Amino acid sequence: MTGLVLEQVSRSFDGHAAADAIDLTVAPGEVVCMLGPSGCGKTTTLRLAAGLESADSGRVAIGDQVMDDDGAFVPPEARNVGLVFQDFALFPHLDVRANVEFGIGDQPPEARRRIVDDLLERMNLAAHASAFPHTLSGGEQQRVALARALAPGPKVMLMDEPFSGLDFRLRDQVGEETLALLRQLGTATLMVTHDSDEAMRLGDRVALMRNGRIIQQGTPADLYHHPVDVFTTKFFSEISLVGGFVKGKSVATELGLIAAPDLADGTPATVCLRPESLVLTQGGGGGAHGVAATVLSARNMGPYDLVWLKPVTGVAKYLARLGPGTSPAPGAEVQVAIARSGCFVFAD
Amino acid sequence: MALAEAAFDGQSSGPTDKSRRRSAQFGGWTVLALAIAAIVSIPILVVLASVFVPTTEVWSHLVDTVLGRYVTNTLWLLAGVSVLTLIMGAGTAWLVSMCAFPGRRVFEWALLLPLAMPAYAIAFTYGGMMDFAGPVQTALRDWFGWGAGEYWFPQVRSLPGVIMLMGLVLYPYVYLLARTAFLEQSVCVLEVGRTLGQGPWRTFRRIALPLARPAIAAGMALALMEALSEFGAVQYFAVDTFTTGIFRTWYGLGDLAAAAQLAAILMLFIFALLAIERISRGRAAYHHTSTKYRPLPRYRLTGWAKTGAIAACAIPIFLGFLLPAGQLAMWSIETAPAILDARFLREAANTIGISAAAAVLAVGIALVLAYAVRIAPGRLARAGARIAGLGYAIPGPVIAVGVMIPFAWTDNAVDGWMRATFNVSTGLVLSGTVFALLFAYIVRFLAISLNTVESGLGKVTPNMDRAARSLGARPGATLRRVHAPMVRGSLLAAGLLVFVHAMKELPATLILRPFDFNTLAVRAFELASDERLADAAPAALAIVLVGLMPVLVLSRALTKSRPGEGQAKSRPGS
Amino acid sequence: MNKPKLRFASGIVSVLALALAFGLTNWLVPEQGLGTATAQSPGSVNVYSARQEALIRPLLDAFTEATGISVNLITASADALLERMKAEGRNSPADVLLTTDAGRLIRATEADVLRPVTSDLLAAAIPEQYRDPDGYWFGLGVRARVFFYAPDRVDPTDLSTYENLAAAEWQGRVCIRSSTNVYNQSLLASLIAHDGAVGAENWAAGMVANMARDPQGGDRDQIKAVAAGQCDVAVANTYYYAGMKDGTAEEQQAAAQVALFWPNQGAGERGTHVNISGAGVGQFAPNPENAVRLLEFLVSPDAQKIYAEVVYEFPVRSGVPASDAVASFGTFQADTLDLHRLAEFQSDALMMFDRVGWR
Repeated sequence: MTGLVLEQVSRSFDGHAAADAIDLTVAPGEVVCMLGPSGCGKTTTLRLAAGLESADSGRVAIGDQVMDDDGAFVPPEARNVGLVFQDFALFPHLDVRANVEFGIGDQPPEARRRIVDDLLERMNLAAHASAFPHTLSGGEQQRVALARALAPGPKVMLMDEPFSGLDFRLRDQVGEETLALLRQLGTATLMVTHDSDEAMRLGDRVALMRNGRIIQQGTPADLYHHPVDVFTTKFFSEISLVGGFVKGKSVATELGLIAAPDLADGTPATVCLRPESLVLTQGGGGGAHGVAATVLSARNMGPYDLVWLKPVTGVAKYLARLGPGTSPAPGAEVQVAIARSGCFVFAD
Repeated sequence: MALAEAAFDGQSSGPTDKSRRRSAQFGGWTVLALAIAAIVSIPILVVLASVFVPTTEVWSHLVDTVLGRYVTNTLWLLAGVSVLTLIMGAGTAWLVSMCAFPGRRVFEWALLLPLAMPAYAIAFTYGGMMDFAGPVQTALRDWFGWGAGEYWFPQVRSLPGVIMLMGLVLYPYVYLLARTAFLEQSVCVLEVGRTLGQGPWRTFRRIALPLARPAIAAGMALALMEALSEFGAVQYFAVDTFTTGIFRTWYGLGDLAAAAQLAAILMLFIFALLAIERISRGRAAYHHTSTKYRPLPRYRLTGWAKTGAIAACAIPIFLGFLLPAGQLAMWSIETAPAILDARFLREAANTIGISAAAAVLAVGIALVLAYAVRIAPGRLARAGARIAGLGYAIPGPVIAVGVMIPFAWTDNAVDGWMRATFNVSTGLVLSGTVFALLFAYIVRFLAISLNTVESGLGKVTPNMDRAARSLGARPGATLRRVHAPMVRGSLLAAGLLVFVHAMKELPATLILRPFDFNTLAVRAFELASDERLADAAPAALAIVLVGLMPVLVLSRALTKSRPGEGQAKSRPGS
Repeated sequence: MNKPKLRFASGIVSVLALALAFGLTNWLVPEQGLGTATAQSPGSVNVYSARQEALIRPLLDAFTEATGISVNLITASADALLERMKAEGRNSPADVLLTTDAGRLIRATEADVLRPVTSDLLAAAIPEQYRDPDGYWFGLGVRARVFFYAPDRVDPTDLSTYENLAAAEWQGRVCIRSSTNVYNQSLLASLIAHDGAVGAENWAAGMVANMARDPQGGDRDQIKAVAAGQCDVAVANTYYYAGMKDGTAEEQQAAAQVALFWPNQGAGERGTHVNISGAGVGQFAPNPENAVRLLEFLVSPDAQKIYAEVVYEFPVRSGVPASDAVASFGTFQADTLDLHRLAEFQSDALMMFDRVGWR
């Protein structure tokens, strides 16, 4: 049994490919976060899954039913998907109960009441059943939107930046509670976000998109630790970039030789250094421990410190991450070495 | 396809054929909208088609002699009505929306009253009152012992007079839409203005007014289109505008083609007006940027400002409604016993019945058109909706001819075919029926309902459509369950506006109606044009009174239109 | 999931149906069974009238009472009715076209919407001058376009002819309505017929120079302006003055302050400009016999008496007395110009008005 399947789905507008050969599967009970900068096509993909757009080519299936392929198209109202929006899109003329009931009007009143009562109870909204949306707080509105989407018992839940309208203090808590519920209900959840932290914290898997294509998908750890290109690397943390040519299975940089075992000699390459891959040793004087560098500035970010460095003999600035309160003072000279993890080399 | 069908066997809502998919998805609505637009456009196209009839010597005569005057007078009329409706409409709307002064709550609804006053009724009451031989000038002469020509008195039967009277009955459009816009403006934006050191007047001029500009422009466009198409008042005052020119050419010279060509030029005026507005608006966005609404803090007016505000609101109400309605009432007291009979009641029933039917139809059609444009935006649908709305600017008698000719042609073609094929005559099926009349009303007044419904739908975010559809509602159900209730206020407003207009409608009613079908407007006009003003008064007063009811409902709906205010427990303090 | 959609569709349909049914049941099949379907039913006659309902209803009611034939009526402007008859073509339900101004009737004849009628009764009752020689239209009442003056400011011996009113001595003293009105068009047409195009155009220009104010209002307004002292002489139709004499107190007072003058009565003069209100039978009339009966009824002595009392026109049938108010005007000599000549020059007259700036 599969949840949501997109196979080679494409859609273009005015010759511009908003979704280009998308392959994506979301299993029941799984949460997949679709991540990418604005305009990358993630919302289009979500709309294709919902049936709000039809694909130019490719195939969309939910469960074992084909929703959209060369032969057929099932309109959104017949797909049994839930949709939650950033602005919640609650119906202002209906109270909370009527909003939640909206999608299950074809059921007998008895069943309807049971479903709504149950959802309101779970969502901690029972007290607001007869309130109108504009009288609720942001978190409450979000829960109503979710309850409304869940009421018809969708196999697939599609959420477009569902938590970004919330206060940041609420965001984590509401997000985790929401997704816990969806996992528990066995709903295949596809959630669009532009926030990599949110994607990593909430998604079982993450699909990163750019220019209408999925660049990489996998577990958050896969994407973080095995990015496929500079773009992907950059998306999850700040990085320092340094260019060079491959020579003898490594790239020579200001910070020393960096191994590139898979690249042929003479290939121009970019080295990406996550801040944690820069290992600092206090004290001046070069040596086996790395390259001498000067601390330009340092700042405590709470759980960690960020330090900007410049190699004594170099021109570029590099960012390193240290434990809280351990950073050297600006002007101090340190030794910088590169750790294997957090350091990636890509051919240009 | 076979596979897919097998897979979906037994589904209540099966997949549609992919090759027809896009059109199947939204296509029904687009096709419906285009069909409606095409049918409604027929009379307009019939008029426009006259442009291609070769011009006659009548045309060159018009160009040589009177066309220049028609153009000049029409431009003056447009300019004058623009200024008056802007000042009286937007100014008073801002005063009652943003300021606190004695009587404000009464002015809020009373400023809409002149909407109930037909232009021809105000024309003949003022004509009767202010004439040289009328009671006002006679009294002045008696008091001061002046003789003829020894004093100056404003001439009401003149271009400035027409401008003044039209301004008085047309400013409520601007007031209505401007007030809605002011009420909907986020208080945050206005507060930002005040914190940036702008006084009330500058806040109005630099923030509130520009933000309300699309609404004000829409109101002025309605007012100007109506001023251009107004027939009774300009005819009665014999002011040479395009409209009078059209009928002079038609009736006097018997040249319908030349008259229609004049009407086509009139349409160019409208296009120019709309284009100027579009261009000057440029690329600026006027969407509301904040969804936070709080009761507006009102500016408390004192001293001269207070007196001025009261006067500014009271004068249009007095001149545009109380004075003419009072005169009509006085005449009515004189003549009502002889006029009020079973006939009169039947005419009133006819008037209300057909106006209500026109209102329901016009709103329903406008909703379909506006919704089709919304769910399947495209140049074609949009253009269709625009053309369908053009009828508002075309004088009623011209529309009437535009309706009459195709209807009669269809009837005769069907009849001819039936005679030839079955030797049976079907006669005139559509011509001379209430259906033809209703159709003419819709052609004329669709613009009103369309504008109102469109602006209402514009406030519903597209995500609501998507949410509803993902919850199993098809486009039709979405319209019924989400849009219709959310824009109920707009639908009501649209219906009432069409109702009031249809009730006042005269020229198309006269020529298209079935036998023995009279309305109050027909009665009032016939008697007034026979110079029996006092006898015409009861019917005119009845139109005004019936027209008052929707105006009051409209006013109540307007006060509630502030987002969130409908259900809010506390009302804004004043 | 089809249900909501179906319900909505049926909702829309039922609203439309309701609205239509409301309209249709009320008026498509009204009490008397009107409309085209029943237009052929015996015992009715369909009248397209450019004369207002209030004026002619009493006569039509009298006709129904006398003959049992019911009358279906619509009123509108003559040109609009003519356009409607043209559009309706062979299926037009119009039995009778009733209008003022011979020019309109002649225009209708030329548009082929009227049929010739032979009726000895009509021929006997209506003087030849006031009916079409081929029987396309018949005059029912006669009106004259005359002068009204203020006796305290105008010596009636100074008044003489239409032509004279354009003379310099009347500068700034004359009130007359807009040239959009057909009565003025016919008046100028008669001047074109008598004095030629050049003379008529000079006359129109002279009149414009003599106007006390821009043309405005109707004929009653011109008479009232004389009473109020704004001008000394007004040009207006007789029946308006008669109507004012029987009108409101204020109108009676105004009427009492002015006097009527019959222009062009002197020896060798052509007489006062007159016109008719009249009627013709529709080319495709479904009830032609009833139509002729209506016309014959309208020229009967009794109907002519009502006509004279209600519309204050001179009866077209000789021997029928005018209303008291009209009779008080005295007798006059009417211009015997062929009414066809008016129709011939009406368009020229309107263009002439445009050229001399007569608004």
